[in-house]
Amino acid sequence: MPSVKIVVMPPFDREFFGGTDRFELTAKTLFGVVNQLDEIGPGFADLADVRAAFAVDGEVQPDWSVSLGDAKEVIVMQKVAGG
Amino acid sequence: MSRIHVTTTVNGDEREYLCSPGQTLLDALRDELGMTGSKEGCGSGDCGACTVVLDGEMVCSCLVLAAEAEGRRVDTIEGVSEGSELHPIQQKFLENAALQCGFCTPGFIVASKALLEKNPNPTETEVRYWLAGNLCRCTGYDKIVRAVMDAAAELRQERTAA
Amino acid sequence: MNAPEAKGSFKFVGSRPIRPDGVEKVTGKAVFGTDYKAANMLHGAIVRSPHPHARIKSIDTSKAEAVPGVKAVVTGADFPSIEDIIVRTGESSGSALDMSTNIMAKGEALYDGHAVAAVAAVTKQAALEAARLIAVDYEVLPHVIDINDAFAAEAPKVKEGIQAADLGEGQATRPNVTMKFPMAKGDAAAAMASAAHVVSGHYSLKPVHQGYIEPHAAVATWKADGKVDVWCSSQGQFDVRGLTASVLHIDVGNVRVMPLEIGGGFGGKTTIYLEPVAALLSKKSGRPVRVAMTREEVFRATGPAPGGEIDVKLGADADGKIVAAEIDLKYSSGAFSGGDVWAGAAHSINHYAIENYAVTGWNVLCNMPKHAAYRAPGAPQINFAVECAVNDLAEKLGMDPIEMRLKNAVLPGATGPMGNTLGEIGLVECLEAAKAHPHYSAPLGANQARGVACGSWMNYGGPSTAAVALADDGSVLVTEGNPDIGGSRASMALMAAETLGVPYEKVSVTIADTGSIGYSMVTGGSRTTYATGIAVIEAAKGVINIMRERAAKMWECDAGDVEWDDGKAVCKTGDNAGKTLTLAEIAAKAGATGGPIAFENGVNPLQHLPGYGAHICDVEVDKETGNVSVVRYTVVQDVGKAIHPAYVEGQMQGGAVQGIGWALNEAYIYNKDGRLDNAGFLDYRIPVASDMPMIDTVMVEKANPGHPYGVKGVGEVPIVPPLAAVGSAVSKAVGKPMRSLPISPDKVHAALNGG
Repeated sequence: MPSVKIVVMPPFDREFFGGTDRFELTAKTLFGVVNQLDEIGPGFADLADVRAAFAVDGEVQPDWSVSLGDAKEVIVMQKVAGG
Repeated sequence: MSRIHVTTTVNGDEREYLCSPGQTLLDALRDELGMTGSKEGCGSGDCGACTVVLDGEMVCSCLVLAAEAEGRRVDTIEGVSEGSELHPIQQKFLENAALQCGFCTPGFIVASKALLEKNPNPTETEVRYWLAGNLCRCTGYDKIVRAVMDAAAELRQERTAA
Repeated sequence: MNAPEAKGSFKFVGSRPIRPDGVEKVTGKAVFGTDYKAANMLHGAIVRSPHPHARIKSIDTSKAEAVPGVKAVVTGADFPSIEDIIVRTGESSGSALDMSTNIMAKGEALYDGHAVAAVAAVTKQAALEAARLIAVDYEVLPHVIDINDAFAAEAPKVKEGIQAADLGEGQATRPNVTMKFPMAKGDAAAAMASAAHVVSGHYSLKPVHQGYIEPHAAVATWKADGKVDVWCSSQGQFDVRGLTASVLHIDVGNVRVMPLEIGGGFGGKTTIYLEPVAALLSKKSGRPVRVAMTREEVFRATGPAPGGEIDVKLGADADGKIVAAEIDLKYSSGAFSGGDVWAGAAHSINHYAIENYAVTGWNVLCNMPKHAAYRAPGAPQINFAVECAVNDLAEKLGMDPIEMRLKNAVLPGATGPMGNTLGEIGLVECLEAAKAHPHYSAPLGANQARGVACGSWMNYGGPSTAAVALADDGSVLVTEGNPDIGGSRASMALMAAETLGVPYEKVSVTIADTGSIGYSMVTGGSRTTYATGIAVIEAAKGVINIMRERAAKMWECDAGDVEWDDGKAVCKTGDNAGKTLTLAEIAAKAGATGGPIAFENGVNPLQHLPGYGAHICDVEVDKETGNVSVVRYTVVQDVGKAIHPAYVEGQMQGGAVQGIGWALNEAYIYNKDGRLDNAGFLDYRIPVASDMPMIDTVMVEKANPGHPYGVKGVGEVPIVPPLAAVGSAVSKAVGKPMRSLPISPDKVHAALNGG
């Protein structure tokens, strides 16, 4: 399994990871990404499905079960609430 | 608290209700007669959503006391269409998409009808100033003004044909 | 998802039929939130704090309870204590504790108008009388409302227990700052230092209200079995259900919300204020209870959009390419932390390709109601500052402001500031269309000037559920869960008609209560036509598949041999090759082929794309009075594909006029005692018909490949550019930068007279 670069956008970097915003990890799916990030920043998984959106190589991926394949980068963003 | 007995004509029908001295005509229409077409957006005469016609004069029914309607004639949105036939103003509001949420619409339609009865050929500016007491937050007024101008044109044509 | 399926050749999509709910709404028959009555219903009234900040020492309800006809009284003590959990309701996630505290004060009143108690009585008059007799003993505490004051390190605390943000190493915390949001790329400082041209400015905006004409109202009944029914208007009955259940600390399944017609929301009805109050009054009284707000209560206690204090510095090279941006934005969020400043930062330069930037957002608490979403929440404020600065830069370079924007516009496939790919966006097309529009080259009259601005909103997709069922006469019944706030029933019917190939008139649309269909996120975020549209299209496709199977049974062939074409099943092989069956013919035989034909599905699409728009505004300034009139206005927007163009134009016109109101008239005005001085439509002046010209619209249609018919969200973008388009036009007309909104006549008059 190739490793994938994780970029955590504010405010999650400070909120959960002490300001660190880059991680390198190996995961089959976004579920794996979330679980591993939760180990680094406890509590992240609980809020991830409510507040976070994930862009896999630039495309927002709503389905966490889709294989990451040889994706290079996952960006963790805050969802934007609308009006 | 003593209640006042009022007999009035609403959209051509004789109606009666009991009201308290401080109750507004809008509350009487909505709460005593169950006619909820007239809306309360502000209760202070600023939004026009409660517009009705009282003895031929356009008023904010939230600024009229229920007791003042005694012996007078009240025309509301519920009386604008004849049976199931829409009034041309209503039809033009639909065709022009002149409503989005629709909450201010009854007030606009009653006010527009009052305008066109006084002035069958208003300019855009006249329409805008006549309707300046009716607030709409959704449409930006463009399509409302167009609908009223369209309705005016159609009503003039009907009158010529008749 | 693949490219749009019908590439521009549509049968129904793009037409302008009369909306399905139109007749009810022009005849006064539609039942809005304020119209619903339950049998044997009580009337509620709410007691509100007259102080912007006070400790509630005691509440004496005894006199109120003695009023004849009073059946229940509740205070903050009656609300279940809840830990600070995040409410799981799609996009409008937030702290349940914050929501509960905003709905009813608990020990501390946090703003003028904060609810502290509520009563229910058999008549409205008795409820109001009882509310007057509730004696609240307050200890008035220091308050702070202005953003600059609240930001100070020595500012009074807005409330007890604020979790102030960690502002970084060596930085002292500020008591009311709950979030610092930095966003950076490249080296902004170095690029700025070497830029050929630099402009900078400070911009100020006051909080403004959504201004929906329908005040909030809710009816609730708490039944003996613990089930709660709620009738209210909102932007999403499912999120009202989730939020109400969280605040009441009961199971979501015990709450059922019946959606009523909604009289405007603009983001302000994505949250709740009254439902738990009505429910608790009902629990105590055993009868249905209606609680409704007056207009004054709406202004004092419901969601304004944040005010902002913003610094912008832009640097460009000699050719007009923007090489650096330094932006600092402070947004208010009321007495509770909010997320608009995040969206503000994200939208600050979402429309430009800039290599070096440093954007810092600050969320600042103040003694005001918990701020609520307002159309493109967070974007108009920052766009005002950035777009005015871009116009300053263009002027400095002697460049045409649209050329300047074309030089810097973000292109399809670019990476946005949040790291996601922007896809098939249409900013360049919008700018080209604006440049080519006759308005842009029309001569100006005396005391007139022209302003332009462009901007964006990210838009959203997200979860939606829809069902399509056939009646045995071939009528098509669409059921969905998104309140119709501006013609969405018509759009859903058009998309169902297009997919099925049946006339629009054959389709009816029902907006179901929370017990009748699966979850849909709010009507908001410009998501409904996109996401719920996909749910409807997918449900219609499910019905087509069933009809193909049924036709195959009738022809005694395989479903694979049946194609759906233009509203008919066509047999492709065998003895029946070439034969057709219409939807109505198949529906009529449903009983003989396997039972009722219906399909329901939930979707969670996120291939929405950001929307972009460019606005042109001409103003005329009355030099004697300082009054500003908007004399011509044009909105250009990339809408993807307009399903019902008239309602798309309506969004563009309505959003623009809200933005014009924001620029020229609207503001919350608090006095020195922290009380709102303009809690009514007379003094909080939204635009009226005589203020406005016709609003010209140009719909650029660059299809979204992520929607079967190419839809992009359209509702939010149009409120983003007007503030700067108006502001820049006025600045030009008076010859001085007007950087503080609203640009009221007194400010213009002062600017014209050396102020």
